[in-house]
Amino acid sequence: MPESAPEAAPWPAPRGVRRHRGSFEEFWVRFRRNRLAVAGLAVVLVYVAVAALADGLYSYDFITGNQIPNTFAPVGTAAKVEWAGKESTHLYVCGADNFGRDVLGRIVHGARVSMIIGFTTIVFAVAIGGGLGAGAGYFGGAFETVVMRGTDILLAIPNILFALAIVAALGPSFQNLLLAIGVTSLPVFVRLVRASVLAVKDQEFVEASRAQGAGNLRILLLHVLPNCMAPVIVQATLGMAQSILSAASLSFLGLGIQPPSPEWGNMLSEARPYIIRAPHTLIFPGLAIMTVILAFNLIGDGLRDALDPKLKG
Amino acid sequence: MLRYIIRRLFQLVPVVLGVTFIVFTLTYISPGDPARMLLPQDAKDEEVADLKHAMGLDRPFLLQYYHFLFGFHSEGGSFDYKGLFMLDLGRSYVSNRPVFGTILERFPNTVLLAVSAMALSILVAIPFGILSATRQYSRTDVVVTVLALVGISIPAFWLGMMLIWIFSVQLRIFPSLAVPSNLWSIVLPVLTLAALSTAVQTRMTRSSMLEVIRQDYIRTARAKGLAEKMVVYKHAMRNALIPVVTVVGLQVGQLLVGAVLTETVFSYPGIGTIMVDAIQRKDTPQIMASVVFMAMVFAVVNLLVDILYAFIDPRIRVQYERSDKSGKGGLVNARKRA
Repeated sequence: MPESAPEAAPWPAPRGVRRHRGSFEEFWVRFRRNRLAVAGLAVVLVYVAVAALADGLYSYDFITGNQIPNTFAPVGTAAKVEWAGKESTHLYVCGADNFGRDVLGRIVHGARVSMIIGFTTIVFAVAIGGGLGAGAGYFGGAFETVVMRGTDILLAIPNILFALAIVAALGPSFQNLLLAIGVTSLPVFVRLVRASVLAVKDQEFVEASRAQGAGNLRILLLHVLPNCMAPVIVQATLGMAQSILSAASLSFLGLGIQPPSPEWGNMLSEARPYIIRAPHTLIFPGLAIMTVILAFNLIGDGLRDALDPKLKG
Repeated sequence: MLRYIIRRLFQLVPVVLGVTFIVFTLTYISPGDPARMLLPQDAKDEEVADLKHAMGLDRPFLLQYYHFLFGFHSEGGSFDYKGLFMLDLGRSYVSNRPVFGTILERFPNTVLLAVSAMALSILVAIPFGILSATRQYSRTDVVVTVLALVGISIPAFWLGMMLIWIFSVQLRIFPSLAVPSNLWSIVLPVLTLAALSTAVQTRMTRSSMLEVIRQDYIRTARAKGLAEKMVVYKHAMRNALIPVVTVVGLQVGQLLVGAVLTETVFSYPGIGTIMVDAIQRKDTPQIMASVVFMAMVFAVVNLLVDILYAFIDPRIRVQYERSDKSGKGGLVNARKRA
C-alpha cells in the first residue's frame, strides 16, 4: 500500500537502507576481479558442500568403525572390507589409518565438524560481541566503560591460551569447545563494532533520521549498523579461519573433539606416532586444514579490498 | 614520556586483576574435586571433607580468590602458599614441587625458542617484504606474497610434523626431539615457530612499504635525483618499519604462547609442555600458575612494546601526549595504525 506509506516522501531514502543493493553489485564487481579471492570462495564452497553431503559420501559408522585388516593401507589401495555383514571392495583414496579407517572419509566428516565450529563460533562472536560493541559505542557512559574494560581484560589473554584454559576447566566436549572458541573470538568484534559505530553515529544522515523522530533502536539497526558492516564482514571471514585453526589445535592437544569422532586436529594427534610407518595419515588431514584456512584468508583479503577501496593503495 | 609510562603501568593493574579473576573463576567452577583426586579411590567422604578444609577449598569463593592472590595458611601448615603476588601457588598435585619453581626453571627454554624464532623471522621478513613492495607485481612479489599467505594459513603443529617427516625421518638431518642443551635439535622447532611470524611480518612490511613509497616526500627524493637505493633504504624504510615494529612486538608475546603447540610436537621441555601435561593430569595449581604466568608475560611484553613504540616515533609520542590528555589508551591507537 504505497499511498499509506509515509516513507514515500519527496526526499531520498536514508543512505543506510537504499545504498545496500547498489553497493552489493558494485562490491561483487570489485570482488570478482580478485582471482585469488574467487578461488578461495570456490574452495570454501566445495568444503561446505562436502560437509553437507558427508553422510552421503561416507557412512559415519564406517569411518569410525575399525577395519583392522586394512591398517595403514597406502594411498589409492582398493581393499576388501566387511561392512554391515557384506563384503565389498573399497577404494582408500587417501589410504587408511592405524585402525584401518578410511582417511579421506574421516577428513570429509571432519570438514563438517570444522565448518560447524567455524560458523557457530563466529555467529556467536558477531552477535554478542557486535551487540555489546554497538551498545557501547552508541550509548556510551558507564555501559561503555564496563564493556570496554572487560574487553581489554579478555584481549590481555592470548586466544589459544584462553581457549585452552576454558576447556581445561570445563572439560573437553563439543559444547565447551564451541564456548571456548566463541568467547575468545568475541572481544575483537566488540572493539571493531564500537569503533565503527563511533565513526558513524554523529554523521548527518543519522542526525537527519533522529530529526524525523526515529528512536534509538531504529537508528542503530537501520542507519548505524548497516554502515558498520564492512569491517565486521572482513573480520568474520578471517575469524572463521582462526576458529577452525583453534579447534584443530585444541583437538590436537586432546582438548577438543574426542576420538573416535573424526576431526582434523585429533586425526593428526592420533597419526603422530605413525609418522614413519604411515606418513599419509599425517599429510592429508593437515592439507585439509591448510587449504580451508588459506581459502578463508584469501576471501578475507579480497573482501577487504572490495569493501573498503580506501585501504587499497 | 615518564608520565605516560606511569599511566600505562597503572592501566596494567585492572587487567592483571581481571585476568587472575577469570583464571581463578574457571578453576573454581571446573568440575572434579581436587581433594578426592589426591586421596585413594576408597577414601570416605569425611576424609575428603577434612582434606578439603585443610586445603582451604571449602571457603567462600571470594575468600578463596583472596587466598589465591595473597596466600593461604593451612592449619597443619602443609598446604601453605604465599599467593600469586609472591609467585607461590603451592605445589603440583603430581610432582609435589612448587608450581612456579617448575615454570621459572623451564621458562628460559621457551624464551630461547621464541627469541630465536623472532630473530629469524625479522631477518627474513623485512628484506623480503621490502623486495616484494619495491617490485610490486613482479614474479618475486608474487612468490613472496603467496608464500606469506601459505605461512599465515599453515597450522604450526602440522608444519612441525611435516618438518620432522622430511628432515628427521627422510633426510635424517635434524633430530625429531628437541632439547635446549643441543642447539642443532632446536632448528626445526624454531623454523616451525618462526613460520607464522615471518609471514605476518612480511605482509606487514610489504603493505606498509607500499603505502610509504607512494607519498610525496618519496617523489621529492626521487625528483631531486637521489639513487633509488637511497630512497628505499634511507627515506622509505624508516617510516615503513614503524608499524612493523609494533607487529613484531606484539608477536613476541604471541610466540611465547604459540610455543605451546610447537613444544608439544617436538616434546621440548618448555612452559607449553608444562601446561599441556598439567591439563592432561588435571594438575590444577600447575595449570593455573602456567596460564596466569603466560598471560602476565604477554601483558608485560605488550606494555614494553607500547612504550618502545612511543620512543622510536616522535610523531606517535606527540599523539600519545595528546591522547594522554584526552584519556585514550595508547595501545589502541598504536594497534589501529598497525
